[in-house]
Amino acid sequence: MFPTATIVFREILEVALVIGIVMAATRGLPGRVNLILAGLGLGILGSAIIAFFTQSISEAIDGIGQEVFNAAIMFTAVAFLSWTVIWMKTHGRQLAQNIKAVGADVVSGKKSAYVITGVVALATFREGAEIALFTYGMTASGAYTLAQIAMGGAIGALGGTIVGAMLYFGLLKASQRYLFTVTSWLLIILTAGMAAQGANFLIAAGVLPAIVPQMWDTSAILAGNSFLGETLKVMVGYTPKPTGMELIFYSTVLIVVGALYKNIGRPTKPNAAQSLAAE
Amino acid sequence: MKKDVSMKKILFAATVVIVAGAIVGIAITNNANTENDISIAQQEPAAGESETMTQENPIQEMTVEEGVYELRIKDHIFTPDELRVPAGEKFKIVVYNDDPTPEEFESDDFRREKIIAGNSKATINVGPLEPGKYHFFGEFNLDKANGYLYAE
Repeated sequence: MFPTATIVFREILEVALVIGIVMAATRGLPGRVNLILAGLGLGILGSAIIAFFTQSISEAIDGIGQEVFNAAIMFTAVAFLSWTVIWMKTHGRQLAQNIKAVGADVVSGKKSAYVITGVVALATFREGAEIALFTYGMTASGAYTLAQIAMGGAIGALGGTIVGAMLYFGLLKASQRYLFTVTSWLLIILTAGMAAQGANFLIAAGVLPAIVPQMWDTSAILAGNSFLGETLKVMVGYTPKPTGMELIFYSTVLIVVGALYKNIGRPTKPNAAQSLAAE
Repeated sequence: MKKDVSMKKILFAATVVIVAGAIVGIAITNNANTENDISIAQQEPAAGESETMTQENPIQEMTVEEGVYELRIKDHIFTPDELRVPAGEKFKIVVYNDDPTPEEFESDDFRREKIIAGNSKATINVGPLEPGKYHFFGEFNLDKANGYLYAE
């Protein structure tokens, strides 16, 4: 029971933290719960499919299929998350001011909102597939009964979900006034971390050079597999031994998406609209 | 706090859906397993070979070609469970999973993770590493599947 609980907790934690931040960041967006639930459902369906095709994925592209696939998931998530942050910024002010008044506007931008579904689905794919494979292994080995595994899985899932919920409610409580700004920056930092993880998969695939194999080693201070280490890995992309390439990806995303976020939605836009209307 | 009902909805759905997902996963991978069983017979001679090699010399390179090291997983245990690898160089580890169940080869120390389906193999690119001891493990069997790389 315990190994199941531990593994499931570790995997769910990543998904739960992402959902927790996305939930807080999209507060006020109508229909966000359904968008997120759809993402979760899609993610679970996808992870079952990925688990089933594990071997085929691994053997693809001369044996580096799994690394490339994982990197692709990461970079797609990076694109979706960046889009979410920027899209929320353009609608965020209206959302914060008066939810009802902007209803129509948001509905017209509904297609963009599906990106949130994509983000959640992508966050679920890898972890969900790992849970499926692990659970299958546990059942097949016969060391534990199905009831023990289900129980362990439920405990792990509950634990992970509680941490995600704590993050969500914590964010709401701690930063009521600046919630939108705080959650947006949290998402940008999380996105940078995902880009770095994606880069590490491509290094593992041999597609990208590490440039510097080990920039520093902070594993003595904070181990990557500790609870805090894993939490920070998801939230800020913490890793005790980053490579030079990861640092480049991390800072590039941080700077580019950060700059876009800061500069988008400035008064220049209404002016442009006005001048267009004048013509 | 009216809106927080929505979070509860998600929390509830998350728990339900995760358990359901695991069950679906079991059902699907069970089918995959029966296909994999056929390949066991083919792999056994190779497994015997590596066993005799490791008995002679528990810590050794097991180099097949330059910069390639082999590990086998049987009953969730790595053989050999210690490898000497060169520091400051790139190398590959080929992990043969002789178990019918999948395993995830993982290391926090040299930062790799790769799922290996039952009765199959996977190649992991590692390094260059600083000299030192590096822990690796099978994430799906943390109590049994453990080993170390010694980069020197």
